[in-house]
Amino acid sequence: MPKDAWGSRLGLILAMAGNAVGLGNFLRFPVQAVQNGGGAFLIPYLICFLLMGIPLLLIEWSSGRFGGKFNNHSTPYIMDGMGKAKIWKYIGVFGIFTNVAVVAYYTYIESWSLVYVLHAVIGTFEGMSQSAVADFFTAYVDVWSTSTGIPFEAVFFYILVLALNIIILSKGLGGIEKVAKIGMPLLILFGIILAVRGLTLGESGKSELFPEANAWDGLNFLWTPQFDSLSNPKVWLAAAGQIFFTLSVGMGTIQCYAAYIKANEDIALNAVSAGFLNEFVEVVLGSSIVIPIAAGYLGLDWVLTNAGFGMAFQTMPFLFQQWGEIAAAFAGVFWFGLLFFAGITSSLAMGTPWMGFMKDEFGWGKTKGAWSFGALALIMGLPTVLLYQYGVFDEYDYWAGTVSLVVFALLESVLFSWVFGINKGWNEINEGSDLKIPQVYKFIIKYVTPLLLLVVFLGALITPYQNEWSENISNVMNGGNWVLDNSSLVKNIFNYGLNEELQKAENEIQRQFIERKIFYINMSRILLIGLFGFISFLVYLSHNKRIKEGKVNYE
Amino acid sequence: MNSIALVMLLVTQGTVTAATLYFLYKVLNSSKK
Repeated sequence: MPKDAWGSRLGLILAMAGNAVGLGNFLRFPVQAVQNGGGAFLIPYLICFLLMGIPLLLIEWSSGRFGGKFNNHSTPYIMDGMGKAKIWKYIGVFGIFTNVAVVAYYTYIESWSLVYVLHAVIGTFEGMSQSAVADFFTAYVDVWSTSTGIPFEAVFFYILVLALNIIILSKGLGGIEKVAKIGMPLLILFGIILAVRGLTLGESGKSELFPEANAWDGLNFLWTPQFDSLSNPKVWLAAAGQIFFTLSVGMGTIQCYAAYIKANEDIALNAVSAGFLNEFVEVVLGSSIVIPIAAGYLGLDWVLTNAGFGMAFQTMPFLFQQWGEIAAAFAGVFWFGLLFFAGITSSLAMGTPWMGFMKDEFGWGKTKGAWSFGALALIMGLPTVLLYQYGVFDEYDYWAGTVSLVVFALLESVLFSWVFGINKGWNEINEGSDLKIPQVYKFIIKYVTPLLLLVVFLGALITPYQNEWSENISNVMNGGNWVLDNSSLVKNIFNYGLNEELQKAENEIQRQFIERKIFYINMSRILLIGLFGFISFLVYLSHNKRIKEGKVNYE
Repeated sequence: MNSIALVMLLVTQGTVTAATLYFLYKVLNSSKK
């Protein structure tokens, strides 16, 4: 059977950019900028892109192509080929585990986007108040209610979107490339249309209820630099975190896609191009839609109080209604269509490491690989759909979609520079290159990137109370204690925040709800550990199989 | 918009857009191996 391969270079770059572009480009980035010094946030953000983003892209692209030379298309054996210790293939399990766990809830968001496209077209939000639009979302994620007449519609649309992903995945790289070639240009087109509206809205959206509303206020706040924020470690950590999550590094998907690149083909220019395309969508389009449009109709104060993930589904449909019936329908299709394409191009990427692993190690074809991935995603995903209100969705996102990525990226950067060796690594990056990467990057990749990742990891591990780094550091300097925030990894493990909520519960119903929440959160952690154990077991089996077949190492 | 915000917006978005277009142009015009 011929090896799967990319049809064109542009297709590969669009697929890679599609993998990186996600909901965070449109929602997380502007919110982070607003909360961390406005225009000044862009300075640490762009510095982190150069010192951590680009190096990690180069590491992952070159590691992937290196693995592909030995017919390894997923991180367990790509990493095994780069370091002699047995542990690396088990560390590589992160590169499959993360994808299965993340796709489980990510496809749920995709299904929301698809359903909201439908509702935008049929005019469901017409005449609804802002709170009615927000309540519509709350009702939708309650699996017992229905907005379309289809029973269990949240589950139905979730399975439908998952099935769509499986069907495309079963076509192999060709299917993924086709979706990227259609989805990415449409996403950019929709984004440009909405961004033009956001940049030209001005004061035209003010109303009796919000007489101070002005889109310029949103843009002013987003772009006016507050240079004093540059000395705040919190701002730098936020910038590093944003760069990290926006590029989809630390997941194992980039390595998998790159493993299908031919040995003599460029990776340096491809990696930088895909990285900048993601930055274009984030910095240019992402900053010009949600914040100015929301400030244009609801005012800056409202934005500063409510800016967050929920705006996408709970606020934007209401704002679009202010443009009139027809324009609202188009805007809804553009916005939710854009989110859908951003989602599906990422979730398709998440399927490939599992499929690549099962094909390499157990000879599973595309169809078997795709459907088994879908089955795993469904088993992992149903709890996030059925128990959404108990925080299972957020728990997956925290452990699989946040912590695992940082841990894996830190370890892979150590492997690349210090175990595989920076000289060999540098040669891999430059082999067949169409772009001369400045020599200084050799130093950055070896020292700066792992150090930055370590700082990001420590930042999550011991997040200080209320994320006030400066205050806590000076407190420790003066002999005081480091006070941890409930959002820190250390306190998160022991559910400090929830236990505090439990103690403050005002009645029996509230108390029972929080108790149930703690139970389901602990169960979801067991499920995640189980998934990691299951994939590790498969790696163990495949290792034994390789020993029997006499192909343990490449040397 | 105030002047400094406008300058930040134009410089940042202009730089990112120009870099994106430059690299994509290079990709499309690189010789096939």
